[in-house]
Parts: sequence; C-alpha cells; structure tokens
Amino acid sequence: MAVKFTNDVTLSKSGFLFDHASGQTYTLNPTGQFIFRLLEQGEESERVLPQIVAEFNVSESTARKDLDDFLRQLHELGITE
Amino acid sequence: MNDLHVAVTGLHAADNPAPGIGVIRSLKAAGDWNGTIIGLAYDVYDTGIYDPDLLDATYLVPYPNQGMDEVFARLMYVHEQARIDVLIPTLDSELGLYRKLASRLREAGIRMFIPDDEMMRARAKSNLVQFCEENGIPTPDTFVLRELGSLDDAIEKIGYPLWVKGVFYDAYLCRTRDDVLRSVEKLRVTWGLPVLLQRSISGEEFDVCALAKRGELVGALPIRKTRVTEKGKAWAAVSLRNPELAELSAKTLSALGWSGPCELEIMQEARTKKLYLLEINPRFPAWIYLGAGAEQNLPRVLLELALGNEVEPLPPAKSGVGFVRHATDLICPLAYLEALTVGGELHHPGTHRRQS
Amino acid sequence: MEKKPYMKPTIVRHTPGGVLNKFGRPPQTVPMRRIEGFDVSELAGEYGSPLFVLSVRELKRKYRELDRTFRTRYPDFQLAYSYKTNYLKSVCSILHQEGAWAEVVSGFEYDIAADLGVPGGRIIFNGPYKTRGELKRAFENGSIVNIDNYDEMQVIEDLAEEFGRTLDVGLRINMDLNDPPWHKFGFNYESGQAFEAVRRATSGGKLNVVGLHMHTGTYVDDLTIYSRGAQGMIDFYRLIRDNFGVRLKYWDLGGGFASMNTLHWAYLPAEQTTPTVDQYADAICSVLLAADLGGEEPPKLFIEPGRAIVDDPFYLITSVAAQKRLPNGRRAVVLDTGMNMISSVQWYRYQFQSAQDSGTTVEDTTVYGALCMNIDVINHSLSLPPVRRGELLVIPRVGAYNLSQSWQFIYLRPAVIAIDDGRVHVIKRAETREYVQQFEQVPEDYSLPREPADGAAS
Ligand SMILES: Cc1ncc(COP(=O)(O)O)c(C=O)c1O
Repeated sequence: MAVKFTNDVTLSKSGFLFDHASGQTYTLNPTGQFIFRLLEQGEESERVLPQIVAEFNVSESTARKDLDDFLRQLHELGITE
Repeated sequence: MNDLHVAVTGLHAADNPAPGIGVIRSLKAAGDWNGTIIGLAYDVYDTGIYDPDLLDATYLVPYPNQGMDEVFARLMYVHEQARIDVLIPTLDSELGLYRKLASRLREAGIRMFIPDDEMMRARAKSNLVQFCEENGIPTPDTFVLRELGSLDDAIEKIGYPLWVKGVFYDAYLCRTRDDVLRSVEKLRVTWGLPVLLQRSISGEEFDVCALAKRGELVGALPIRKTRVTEKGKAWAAVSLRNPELAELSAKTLSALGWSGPCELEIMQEARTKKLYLLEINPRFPAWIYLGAGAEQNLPRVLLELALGNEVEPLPPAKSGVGFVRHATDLICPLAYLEALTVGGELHHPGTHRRQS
Repeated sequence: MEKKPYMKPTIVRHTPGGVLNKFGRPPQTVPMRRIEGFDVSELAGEYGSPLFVLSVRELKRKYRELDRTFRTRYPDFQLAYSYKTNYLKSVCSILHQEGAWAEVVSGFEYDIAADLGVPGGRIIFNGPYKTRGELKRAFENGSIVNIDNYDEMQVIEDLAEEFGRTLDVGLRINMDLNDPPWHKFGFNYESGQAFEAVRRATSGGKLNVVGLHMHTGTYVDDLTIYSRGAQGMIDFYRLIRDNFGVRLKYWDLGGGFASMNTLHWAYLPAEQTTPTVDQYADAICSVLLAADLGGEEPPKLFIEPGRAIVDDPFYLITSVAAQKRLPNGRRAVVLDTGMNMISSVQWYRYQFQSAQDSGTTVEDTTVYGALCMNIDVINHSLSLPPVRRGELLVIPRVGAYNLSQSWQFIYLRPAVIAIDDGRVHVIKRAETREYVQQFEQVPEDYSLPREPADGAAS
C-alpha cells in the first residue's frame, strides 16, 4: 500500500523537509531521504525494504526493524496518515 | 585594516539585544574598514543573520555549555574555511570559555582582547562587593544566594525593594517575598545558582562603556539612558561629559588592572548624589554603536589592541550625541534556514566577497 | 556495484532552542568503543550489562596528582582517602599502595581498613556516631580520632580513665563559610562553641587536643571557602594556643573537591567551573604557610578527598532496553540500569557516549532508568544519536558515592571490573539471588505447599 502524506511537503537535496501547511521543518539523514523519496514517488511501503537492501550495506532483518521504526516515526510526527 | 577577518558573536538582537550587531556596525563605520565579518551564531534565528548588510558569512557554533573541545573544534573548522584574524566575543556567558581557549586560539593565529581569569573573578557579580570594599569603591548592599535555604535571611538583610539578579544576565525589581521567590526561581532555572539580591538605589542610572589596557583607560563612553525597556535595556540614550563618572571608571579599571572592553553600570542616588558601582560587564554593551557617532569607536580601537599594536588614549567622547533603537522586520528566506539547519553555515549572497 | 554505507534512517523535527546547532561532530556521537584498550561490547558480553569499569591507571593518576600537588607546596602533608565515597576493597587497597591513609566514619569502614592491613596509626576516625567499642579499639590502635560532639567527648574521657592515661584527640569544627553552613558536624567557630569545646576538653585533664578537623561540604567549587576556612583554622589555633596552651600536631581540611561531572543547576559544564588541583592546593597551602605561628613548625596537613579521586576513573556500561516516542513527540530511551545504581543522578547531569557508531544525527531524548518507578529518570534532556535495543552506552565518571550508596531493588546489582595495564580483574562479582536472600528465612508456618513437578494442570 502506498503511504498517504498528510500535507504538502518538500524535501530538498540537503535533507531539509518543509511542511507547507504547518510550517514545521525537519532534517532527514541520507537513509531517511532515500526512503522518503521512494514513498514520495508513491512506492508501496512493502516494496521499500528490498530497495534499501539493494542500495545499502545492511542485513534484511536490521533494515526491516529500522524501516518499521522510521515509518512509525513519520506517522507519529503527523507527516503521513 | 587590510582585509582583516573578524569573527563576532552575539548576533541576536531581540528584546534583550546582544552586542554583536553594534560591534559589527561600529567596525564597518570606521573610515578605513576593508575586511570580512564572520558571524558566529548560536541559533538559526539569531536575528543579525538576516540583516543583508551585516555579515559576509555565518557559522553556527555550539553553546558554551556544550563543552570547550566542541567549541574549539568548531572554531578551527571556521578558521580553516574562512580564516579568523580577530575574534570578538560579546556575551558574558561565553567569556569564561574564551578565556580558557585563549592560548589555543592564539597558537592557531586567532587573536582576542579580553580580560584574564583574575580580572574576571574580581568583577564577577558574586565577588564585586568584596572587590569594592577592598578598593574603596561604593556599591549597594548585596547578598550572594547560593542555596535557597538562606533566602529569608537575605531578604531581611537587604530589605525591599530589592533587585534579584542572575550571575550572567537578567534582573528583576521585587517588592514582595512572592516576587523574590518567582524571580529567584526563574533565574535559577535559566542560569543556575548563585543569584544575587541587591539593595535597590533610587536615582539616575548611568552607563560607561570603556576599553582599557593593563588598567589604563584607552577610551570611555559615558551615557545616560533616556528611555529603557521593561527590562531596563537602553532604547534611547545620550552621550555625556561627566568628570565624576570618568573618575570612578578610571579608578575601578585601574584597581582591576583591566585589559579589554567593559560596561560599567553606575547609579547616582537621588538623595545623596553619591555614585554607586552596580556591575562591571566584561564586554561591550549592546548600545556600543553610539560610539561611532560620539567619536569613540571602541571596537575599532580594540582591533588594534588585539593585534598587539600600540594605541594612544582617545580624546573624550563627544557629548550630546544620542541614539534610539529601532526594531525592524527582515525578510528571512527559507534557503537561509535550510543552509544553516542542514549545513550549519551560510555564505551571504548579498555581500560581495573579496579575493585575498 | 559497491553498496552504500548504511545508517539507521532518521528524521528529526526542528524545535526552538533544540539541537539545531550541533555542527562538527557532537561529542556524544563519537563512539567510545574502547575503555583502556578493551572493547566495550566484548566487556559487556563477557561480564554482563550493566557493568562498572574502573580504570586503575586513571585512579592512580588522580591520586598522584593530588598528592604531588599538595606535597610540593606543604612540607608535612598526608592524604587520607575518604572511604565512604567508594569502599570497594580493591579501590581502597590500590590507594593505600599509593600511600593514602584511610579516613573512615563508622566501625564498618574502620574494619574494612584494618582488614586490608592499614596500620591503626594511618586511620583517621571521623563522623557523628562512633560507639564506645569502636572508639576504644581506635585508641588502642593509635588511630586519629576527631571528636564531633560533647557526648562523644565524655565517652572518650571515660576511656582515658579506663586506660589510665591522657588521650590525644582532634576536634571537628565548623565555620559559616558556605550557604547553608554545615552546622551538623562538630563545634561551631563563630558562635564560640568551638572555643568552649577546647576549654572543656583541656580542662578535664584527660584529653590532649592535638588536631583540628573541618570538612565544609562536598563538590565545593568555590576556592574562597578553602582559603577562608584555612584562615579561620589559623585564627582559631592562635586563639586556643594563647588561651589553653594547645599545641597542634595536625590540621585537617577535609575533602569536598569537585570532580568533572556537572551539577544539574550549573549552567556551564564542570570543565569550565571545576578548579584545578593546583588552584585548590594554592587556596589552602598559601594561606596556611603564610600563618605566623611564632617560629613553630606548621602542623601536619591532612586532606580527605573522595569524589575528586574516584569519580572520574569509573565508567558504567549500560544497554538500551527500549525506545519510545512520548505523546509530545519526544524520543525516550529506557536503559537496563536505574537510579539505584547511580544515585548521584540527583545531583549530576551525567554524560553519555554510545559505544558504537550510530551516525552523527542527534535528537533531544529523555533517558529513563529501568526501575518501575516514575521518578527513575536518568536525564530529562540528552542529545543522543539513534540507538537500537541492545546497543551499548557508556556513562563516564560514576565512581563517587554511587557504589557505596547503591541499593538492591527489583534487579540484581552488576559486577565491577578493574582494567589495569592490559588485564581485567573482577573486583566484585555480580550479585546473585542467593546472595541477596542469604539471611532470609521463611518460617514453616508461612511456607507454601510444593506441587509435584508433573501435576501441573488440575
Ligand atoms: C569528614 C569527611 N571527610 C571527607 C569527605 C569526602 O568528601 P568528598 O567526596 O567531597 O571529597 C566527607 C564526605 O562527606 C566527609 O564527611
């Protein structure tokens, strides 16, 4: 399932995220940016994991736990619905 | 002043303005200015960053309480990127740290002109009473509160109304025990203990900004605040010619053997006309830019002293020159925020960068 | 194709006055993988987590620095280590090997010192409560005893009678130096109590006042308290010498020197506020040595530091038990240890370093201890890099008062190891349930019936 963003957001190349509706800003690290870009493009969250494993030097089990954490954080911060 | 690179801290000019902006404007107002100003900021919203005419580059630096090595490492990074010839710290809470870093900075080629530990200790708010007693300089009764347990003793000793003062900043005039409690708590949370309780003297407040080398005055700018904010900060003032203020300033700085800039806060009691020394702040005041108009450009002279050059004492300040502080709104591009937040530095596109 | 290095993905919300300006590498993200050459995760793997680690080299360095600094200034100087700060036998023993005497404040501590082989003459016995038996033993062994109150003075006079000789004693005095002053201990100087106490002690003919003792507080970073205290000591000595012919053999300025931990209410970190050993020594010795004692050799000078010696050389390795998001969006981390093991969190804003590379992004985090008590908060606001369950953190400078004040609660207390020149010694094994419960017994009447092992479901 593709994640749905709550508000209009812009992620710049530097990892700076601006929420146009709330005015809140955030910083994402490179792995966070990689995931965020995929979600932005409408990638299904289940299909993100293999792409992390393909791109980065990480085991699937670690990446799965971290991805889970990250998606939950996006939700808890009110960025995704 | 050929292509001198000067780094300045204290860029936040909000309700309690930091002196950095005034220092920078003073330097730029000197006829021979031809250098680069590097702003050292603590927060992406430090207001001075957004003044298009002020800075050539801004770097965020760690707060002094984040540790000496962190601050030093950051300064070395800035030095590598932008070169710092002279550094002018302008905040009380930084000075202890810069004092401790002074020799390491000097080795790296960064010069400062700030008071040493001994002088800093003697004028510290908690030691000032003793210093004044030993040197025959009048100061109001003060109680140094190191533990809340002795609050009532202190109140009894000083009597209302009294000032509750933080060791670094902020002071509140209190008339009841509740006032005192609230103020002490506010200060304790922000700046820690001790806090000071000081007898309130009713009268006229004067300020003197001075620059001295080994106890000798190099320049002094006495003012009277003609308008103050709720916090007692000057928003309008006028420069003075007043031999008594000059004498008290000279006596104080000579007793301290002072080297560096400072601001002396002095009260003249209405009833007795007697002058009392309230505080010695070991840095320029926020209103220092007035000096540029009163023939007493002390930041400009400080550069010479920092570089180790001999300077002649300035003739007395021109009296009757006033200033008003004027708040204005600056446009704050999101790109500035992004650059500072993500990268910690901003090279101001508006200013023209000189080739060295 | 080469894969990119991986970091746990993070997103950090910007908050005013938050962690926006940590440029350069924030120190807590610089991994502390090793302590004295030993891999932190291997140590935790072998000896368990949490784990206290002592660097013997640092302990000796601290001792030697204090000892040398005072000794080079003051001709007849002796350091007595304050046992209460940390009375692990190995710690005390190492310090005695280095030359320290023992400063004890109870029979329990006295026994530890005696048991380690410290000669009685090198034990200073202080404290407000000493039993008659303990005092008797101390005098028999030739220990230094500093009297705290009149009741104690009476007991000692009784002992003098019993021994049939006069006894050499010291008096603990207190002065109005700090705020509030420590009036709990000894006799007050300003009010004249101390003067009266000397009169009383010398007039009975059974006691010989040979020492003055003072300890004004702990974590004292105001140098003037020492210099004013030293001056007060001199003035008082002149007074009792002139009035009662007292001749001092020693004066003891106590402990109280600050460590490199930062107090919660201090704005600046300890590195910027804690005086150096040189400054402490100057504050005390320059005053004492300037005293005009009319040609008399200055008495022996004792100091009794605890915190300043043992705080810094100890580390606590702890691991992350869980991570949470609080309802207000803040991150929280739960550790596998709690305030029962580091009770000094009441005073100290402890620093943490992660033991693995967790990236350089930090987030403002609340750190909870493992106890099932809401007050078990180790740090309300700490910038931490992202960490996962099981990852290790190191808290430096935990040696003072924590181990001697720890209490067993809910969990068993961890092991303490010492690292010394490439070797690891276990100096205290981790507790077992048997150890904790060894003195308990359940009377027959309260015993539960034991089900036969296989009769599980009924
Ligand atoms: C009598 C006496 N001496 C020495 C000390 C050691 O103090 P510190 O650990 O602050 O050096 C104490 C501590 O309370 C004490 O009571």
